[in-house]
Amino acid sequence: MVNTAKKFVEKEVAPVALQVDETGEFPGQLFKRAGELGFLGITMPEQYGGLGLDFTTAALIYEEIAKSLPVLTVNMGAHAELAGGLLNMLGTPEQKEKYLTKLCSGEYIFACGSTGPEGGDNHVEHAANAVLDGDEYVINGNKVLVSNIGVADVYIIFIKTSEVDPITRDGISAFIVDKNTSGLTIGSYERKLGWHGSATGTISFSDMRIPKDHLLGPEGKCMQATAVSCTNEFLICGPVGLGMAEAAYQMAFDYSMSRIQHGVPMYDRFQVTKFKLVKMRTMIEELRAFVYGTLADKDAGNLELCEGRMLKIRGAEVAEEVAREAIQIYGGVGCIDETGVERFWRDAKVLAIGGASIEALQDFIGTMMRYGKYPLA
Amino acid sequence: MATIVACYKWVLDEEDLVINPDRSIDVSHARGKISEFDKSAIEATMQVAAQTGDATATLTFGTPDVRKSLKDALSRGPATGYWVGDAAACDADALVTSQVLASAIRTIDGTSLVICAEGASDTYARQIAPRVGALLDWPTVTSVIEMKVEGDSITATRKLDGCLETVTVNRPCVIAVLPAGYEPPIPGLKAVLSAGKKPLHELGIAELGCDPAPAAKVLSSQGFIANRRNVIFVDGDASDKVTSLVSALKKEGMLS
Ligand SMILES: Cc1cc2nc3c(=O)[nH]c(=O)nc-3n(C[C@H](O)[C@H](O)[C@H](O)COP(=O)(O)OP(=O)(O)OC[C@H]3O[C@@H](n4cnc5c(N)ncnc54)[C@H](O)[C@@H]3O)c2cc1C
Repeated sequence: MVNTAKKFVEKEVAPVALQVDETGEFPGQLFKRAGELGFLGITMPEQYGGLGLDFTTAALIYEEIAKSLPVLTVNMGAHAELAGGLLNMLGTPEQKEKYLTKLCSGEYIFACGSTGPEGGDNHVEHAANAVLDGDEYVINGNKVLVSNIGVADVYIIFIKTSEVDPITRDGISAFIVDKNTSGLTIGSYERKLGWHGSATGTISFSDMRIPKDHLLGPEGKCMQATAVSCTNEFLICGPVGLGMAEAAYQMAFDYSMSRIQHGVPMYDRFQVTKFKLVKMRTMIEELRAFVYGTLADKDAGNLELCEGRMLKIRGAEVAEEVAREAIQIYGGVGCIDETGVERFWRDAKVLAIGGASIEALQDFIGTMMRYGKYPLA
Repeated sequence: MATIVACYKWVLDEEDLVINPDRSIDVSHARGKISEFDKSAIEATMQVAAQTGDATATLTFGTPDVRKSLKDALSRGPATGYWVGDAAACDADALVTSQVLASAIRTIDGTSLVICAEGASDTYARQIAPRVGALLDWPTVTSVIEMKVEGDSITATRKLDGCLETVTVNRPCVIAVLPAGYEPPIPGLKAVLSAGKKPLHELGIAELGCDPAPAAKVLSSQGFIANRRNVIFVDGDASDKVTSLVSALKKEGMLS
């Protein structure tokens, strides 16, 4: 399985990775290939075209891809883990037959819009709303910072259908929206610090009428399922952060061995360089143990929701710190795009926010701890 | 139904070989893999089968370790895996290998076409396809980069030094392909998963009636170290340096 990912990365991803970062274009061909190779339905049920495999396998594949082109894991994660996770958890058999099979093959690209202009975690104040009118919901408002827009064939959106309970977050519903739905406007792509190629931007709804059977899950009660399906996405951020950290470390190590300073490799000349690399490596090995230990829990059905969030936090933090130090080891040349190391730091910074900020995740964990929901084992 | 058999060799991954300063080769950390050229033979098999609808199989002869290769081979499409795992493969020369393969092919029902690579990525001796063809008394066409199959007739394009030759041959026959025409695709996860469920047939050297004693013995293997000339062209501007480089390369026969 991992060999398939390694070969894909070596032959198809690595040769265009810098180009994707430079142009910021959604890597459509690579996404299509990810579907053909089975990467878009790794944990999905076989009945709907998935492979029915465990999260450890999915993580190993995400880790490999992140070593070369982290944004491809973002494209895949928004599609397969966020949108796919929700469809799998909340969808009716008909919805799964219609959408999940095409999600697994990559025939349809999916996006998932939850963040409102009022805040990613601030669902209570979200203004976008849906009102039932006969057999249709009429939706108005917008979602911001949504990835895979424009290229997506289907959008899963979170919309207020009644006042939102600040504790349970009941009041939010999920809908399946086909790209050609009248009243749906796709905005332009934001220019961003990192994740170049994620096709991120705003989608707006103006009297957009959605048939009742496009409601995904029970009306007003999708947030509990979302807490679980988002956990899957957070989990994947662990191996993604690990892959990014490994790539940045390896580049920095190789550079320190090849860069001659005062007649010897920089690695041998400066103890500080060696120590930096040792620290980077230690963080990587800690993260690896955390990632695959937590995923073993997930696969055994013993995952705590908090642990999924911790994985995203640690994945982003380690990737950011390791990539930052890697740039430092490179010196001036590390700041140049063409070197290809600084993009890992830019992408890691966005990983700490995109999908959920580290602080919002800490807030969730802190609340669970406060109310005795996450005691020490 | 006719069967197309792809032969492949399980070799050491050349990227894992370490050449010691005394030029001995350290293989202690080398992992095995299907010879890169043989992946093209498997791909050619799948492409021909797509034209003919024939059954497909892989066949390999190696040390008992060769079992590890079966999943990878079958993830590339063929339906059945035949293998001969014997320690004798370690010292087998082309004579022994081709005898084992030809004998094994005789046991595979309905084999009408055998596809090999032109050579294996470790020895590149280019002997197996012609020898297997001779032992089976079937025609052999080598250096093939393209095949069109109509009924029993195969029209093959051969890539020779400086020209392309088109030949026709009737099945049963042996074809040796060059990688150029048959770039092996990356097997998808579904194919990898289903490979584990495909039928396998282990065959024994004794059962095949083969004598494993090689006629040619390898006495030693030494690494080859390319020595750099360390010639640096410093005189003149960039265009002078390029001109000097080109004329030096011409003198060496590297450019014509
Ligand atoms: C490149 C990119 C791609 C994205 N893709 C998607 C997508 O596909 N779908 C989607 O729905 N969203 C997506 N997002 C949006 C992302 O989920 C939000 O940006 C994130 O949840 C933070 O929300 P916000 O930007 O509204 O910041 P705010 O909610 O305004 O938060 C700002 C800061 O306040 C702090 N904060 C916020 N909430 C809390 C809290 N509860 N506790 C403690 N501190 C808090 C944090 O420091 C946070 O960084 C993407 C974002 C980016 C940058």
